[in-house]
Amino acid sequence: MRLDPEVSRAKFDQEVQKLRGRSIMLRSWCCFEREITFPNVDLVFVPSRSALVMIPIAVQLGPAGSSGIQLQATEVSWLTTRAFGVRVAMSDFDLRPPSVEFRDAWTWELVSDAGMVTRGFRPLPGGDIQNITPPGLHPRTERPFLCAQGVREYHEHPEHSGDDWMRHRGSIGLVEIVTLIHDSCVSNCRANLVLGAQLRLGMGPFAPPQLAQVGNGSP
Amino acid sequence: MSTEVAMPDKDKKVTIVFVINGEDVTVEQNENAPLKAARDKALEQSGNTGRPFDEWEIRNEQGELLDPTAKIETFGFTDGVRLFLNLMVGAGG
Repeated sequence: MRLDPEVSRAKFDQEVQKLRGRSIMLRSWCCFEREITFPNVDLVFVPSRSALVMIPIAVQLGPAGSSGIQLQATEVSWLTTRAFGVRVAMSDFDLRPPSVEFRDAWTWELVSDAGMVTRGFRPLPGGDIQNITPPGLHPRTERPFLCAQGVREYHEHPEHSGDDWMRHRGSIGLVEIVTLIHDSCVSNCRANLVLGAQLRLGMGPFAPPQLAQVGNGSP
Repeated sequence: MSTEVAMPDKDKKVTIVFVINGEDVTVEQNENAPLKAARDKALEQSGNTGRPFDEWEIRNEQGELLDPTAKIETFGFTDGVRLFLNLMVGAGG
């Protein structure tokens, strides 16, 4: 520990109180408190975003009668990404930023990259979408991580040594981190399922189904 | 015969309680103003002027993001509605 434990504890309690003050928001996000014990805040998110299923359909492409395959996108409300756990570690807060670890919601084990059941996306100005759970592991933790300002794994990543936590200290706390996780990993993420000769599964940024259609015209 | 037509009250005000860093900040704002006018007033009132006001996002109790440019009347707030201001977490990746 780098910070006086009493100070760290007092700040932790303050942040937890602010989070618990947002109970209506947490309930409507299906974000549940698993356990809160200094310095860790363990939460479980239950995503509800419908999966996008793309079904190949044979279509006639022109008057000559040539045919092709078009993907018809459909939302399936009962199919969603799996619930996931998150540990927000507030050790040494706010001398150090909160750390975010992805965990299995049932076993509470740390997940490997292959075990990730969600990804974090955020829209950028101009319409692009950024993946903030980049492929590859964090060089220090060797785990998947959330690469965003305010998160310890971001500020302690060699590629972001120019963006010191001290620039953000005082403006980012537990509520902001939980909001970031919800927005990027729940609200902006959903399961994609492409049916075909080979089944493709994955997670992608949320977009209305019509944006995911391939080809033109209707079947 | 005369017909009375109810005219919209241009000066109708609503009281909004913004929660900023866990503290309540109450402001009164004309319903015809954009929501950001009330946000800016609350930030000024509470001394949170260190960051550009547009970096603060507005959410309702359910955690839904509210459009700061929309007129307050479009949200149908009741007096004393509680809204939450948080600084947006910047990009990374």
